[in-house]
Amino acid sequence: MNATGHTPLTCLHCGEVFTEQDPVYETINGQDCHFCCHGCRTAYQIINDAGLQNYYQRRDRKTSANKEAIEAEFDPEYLNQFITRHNGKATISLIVDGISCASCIWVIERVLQKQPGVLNARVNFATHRILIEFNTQETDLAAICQQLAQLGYHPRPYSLNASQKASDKERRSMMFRFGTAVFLSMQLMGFSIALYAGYFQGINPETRQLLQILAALVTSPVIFYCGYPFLRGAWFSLRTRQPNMDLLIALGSLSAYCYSLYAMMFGKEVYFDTAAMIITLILAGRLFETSARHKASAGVDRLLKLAPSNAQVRRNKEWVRVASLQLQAGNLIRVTAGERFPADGTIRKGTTEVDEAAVSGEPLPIAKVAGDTVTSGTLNLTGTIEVEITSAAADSFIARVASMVEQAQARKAPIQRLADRLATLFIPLVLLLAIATYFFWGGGQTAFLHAITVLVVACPCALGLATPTAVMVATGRGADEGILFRGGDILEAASQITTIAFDKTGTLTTGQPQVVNVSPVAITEEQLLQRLANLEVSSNHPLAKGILAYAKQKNVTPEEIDDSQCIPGRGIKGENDGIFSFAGSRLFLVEQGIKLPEQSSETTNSQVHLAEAGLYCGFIELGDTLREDALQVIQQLKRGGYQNLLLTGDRQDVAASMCRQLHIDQFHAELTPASKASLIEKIPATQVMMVGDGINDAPALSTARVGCSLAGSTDIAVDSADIVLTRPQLGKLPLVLKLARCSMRIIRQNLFWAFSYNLIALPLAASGQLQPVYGAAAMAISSICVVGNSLRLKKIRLDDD
Amino acid sequence: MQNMNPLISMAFMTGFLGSAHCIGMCGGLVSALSLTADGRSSGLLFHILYNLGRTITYSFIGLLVGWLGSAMVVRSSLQEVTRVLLIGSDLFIILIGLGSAGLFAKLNIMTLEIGGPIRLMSKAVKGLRKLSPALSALPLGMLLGFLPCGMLYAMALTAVQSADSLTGALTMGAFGLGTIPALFLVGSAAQWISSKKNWMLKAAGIMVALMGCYNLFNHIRMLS
Repeated sequence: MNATGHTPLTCLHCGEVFTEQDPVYETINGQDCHFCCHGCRTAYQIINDAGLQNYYQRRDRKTSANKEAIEAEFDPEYLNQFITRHNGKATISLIVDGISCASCIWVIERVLQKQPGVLNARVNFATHRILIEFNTQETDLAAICQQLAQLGYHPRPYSLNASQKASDKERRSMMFRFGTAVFLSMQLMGFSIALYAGYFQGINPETRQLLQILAALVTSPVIFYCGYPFLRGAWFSLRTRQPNMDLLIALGSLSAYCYSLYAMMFGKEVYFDTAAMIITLILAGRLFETSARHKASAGVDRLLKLAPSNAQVRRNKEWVRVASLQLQAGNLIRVTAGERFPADGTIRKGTTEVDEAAVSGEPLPIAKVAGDTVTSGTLNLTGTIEVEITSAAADSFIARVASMVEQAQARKAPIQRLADRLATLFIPLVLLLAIATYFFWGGGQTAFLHAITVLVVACPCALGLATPTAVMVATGRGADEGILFRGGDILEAASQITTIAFDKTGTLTTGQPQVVNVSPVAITEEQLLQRLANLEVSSNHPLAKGILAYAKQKNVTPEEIDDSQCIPGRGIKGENDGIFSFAGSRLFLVEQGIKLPEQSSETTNSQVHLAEAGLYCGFIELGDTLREDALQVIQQLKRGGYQNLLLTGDRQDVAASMCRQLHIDQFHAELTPASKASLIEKIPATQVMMVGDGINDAPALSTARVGCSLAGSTDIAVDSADIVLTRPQLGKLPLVLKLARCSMRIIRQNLFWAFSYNLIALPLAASGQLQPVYGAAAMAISSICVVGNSLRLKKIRLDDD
Repeated sequence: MQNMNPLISMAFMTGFLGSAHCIGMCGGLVSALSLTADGRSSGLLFHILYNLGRTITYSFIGLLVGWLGSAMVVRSSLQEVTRVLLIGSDLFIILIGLGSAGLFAKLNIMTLEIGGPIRLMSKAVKGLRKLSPALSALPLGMLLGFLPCGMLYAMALTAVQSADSLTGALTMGAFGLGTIPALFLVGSAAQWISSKKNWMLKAAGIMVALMGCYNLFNHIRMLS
């Protein structure tokens, strides 16, 4: 109820809530209908008469709703944590799945606003976020969520962190300032053109005065409201005595504005349009820059959004929903089919298939059973499982990757320091030049305009943008491709690499042993495989996994046996129908009193031997296989002119044979972690990139100019690396180098462009060849060119040679 | 100077600010009309053509009323009457502008809205709907340009005041163009605008009042 006692009504057509002040009533088909205005009534009638009523029914549609969403239950207590309260109004931000087009937004907003107690509901199409304001006494959030779910949209709470809130706010205020500036400037144009025309064709003084006053009226908000960020920046730069670009802009626009005010009083020509245009155009450049930055960080948001914000956790023998952030290592959570994992963990109960495409790029679902690990952000496809959390959500793989990208985008490339130093020297020079220009041209009105132009045109925005925008876009592009750069400096370093050193195990090879040889004694290969599989099915050992994978490939299904027992470091002991069997190392079988044939030859591969009922049955040999793309990558790199080098702790002959296989130029074998690092240090005058995955590679990774590790590497390797490939594919390596080279090329182009722009524009401005407005336009265009050139990195082709 | 009349840019602004109102009403109408027989939305082209059609109608109205206005002014025999009429309606425009801006609630632009020949229009809409969306968009827009709308009437009145058919057409055309951007906004921008609706409508009112002032100034000068 509002103060005048009118009941709020909802307009049948536009859904707008209005008070009963001047309502429009209509009886259509015997129904009382309310509209907020005649326009809406007419629109409603036309839609109805044209047989389009189902447009209105769309709001109540249920067709696309999936069963799961409808049946979803919303726990009020859990939801309450996300509500912010203010003056009796409650506000919540929800992420809504299932929004596909603008009409979804229409439907959601209308339906929610019809709900009693909902004061306001707004959907953001770009982010699929919905902001609801409601009265807690009339409705509760669970009911609202239920309503959304019934429409077929699945809501979940969303909480912005402080930095995101700040950047959202900044962007919005920038948009608002820019929008205001554009419309006021357009308005101003009307007055200015009339004034110019009057200047040439004659104009009566009163009209001129009126137009000038109107112009001053629309210019003032542009300067003091839209231009506020520049004015503030200039003020701070004066206080800290560090002249910056804002100072130039503020001086340029303020002097044009103040002079025009003075000119207005004394009936001279005014230059309000110049002042407003400087602000408007430069705001355009800034806005473009902000949105480019936003685009680049959208990748991070996408990553973080993969992990759901809440999870069902077991507390006191009950499943309760809590925010993912509250999950601790050791918590047991339940993940139903179709949910993503909120944190990294180990499956404790249940089997399922997991889609890991988001993290590993592997498109096929992977079967997971109890004991397997799952990564946050991956999608649980088929079964409900219980997972024990191994790290808090904030330390999960996804969160670490996201924070790495964010840090990278803030780190400066050395080339940028040059630009920064130049910019600080540049500004005092420009101020001097502007003063010189003013006096050179005799200090009059024209001289004044020329000096303003110098101030405006010299703004080294493009120079300042040249490097950071390119670094930001390149790191964002890298993240899209599954390549994480730790910073702009790494991009620059990676572009200068000439030699690439590889670790062997886990880098060039998969690190997962695979069966290379089956040699049975007295039984068939199949029988040997079957019996081994029966035993190994209970084991988690990499060798067991290799054997089981091979068995699956050969269509051998493990059969259940009565009992089996793992003996760490030795093997497995099994029992079936009273018959004992042993599988494991040669030593293990000897210990069990089995007689084995002599070892035929030295081998680098691992062997799993089997004995049943006291008799030796043969062995299966497993070896580490090369990554599928290893040869291709090495060849690609060679074609690109890079030197390849193999560093391994393995024996000489193994390393030599691998180098032959892969056509690697050089190798160093039998290295310790420390000698790997010192070797890299010794490679003279070349820039080395080390690619490795293990704990033993960590020192080498940090010693090398650029260290690169692959997904699945040990944590310490990831932490010491400068570049991380988030998918276990070596094939991304040539892309890394190409992206780095492209980015540096773009940065150089940007810097060249920015310098030449200033070199050309400054003399022109000082010699009076440029109008201030053209100066501001040129400045904005040069910034936009630089940002646009950087944005090219988003689209540039990386896969060709 | 008369060629580049500030009225035109003001009309554009009014259109933009006033379109906060259009999003609710016309936005719903256009989305409904753009639905194809099987209930899907037709594309951007439909919206472009529809809005173009609307702007054409507005310009046509402007041309017509501008010509009427000029006819009024030219007849010197009616000068006394004309003066009263012109200045009276200038004041009226200023009043409803300020009313919409929130100075007094009773009189505002929305009260200008009176019914149109709805039956006739919906019949025509029904006929046009038989064509494919791409073909029907432009004529639909031209037809629905005649929908009753307070803002439109206010603009038409200022177009009369301009007393020049070309200025009238340009003013109304600029107004139509100004309303287009908001109708194209979906999602975040649209809701942002909607949230600023009251504010924008007030600003539109001020614009209308300013246009009235400008005309008033001109008329006083012209007739004195």
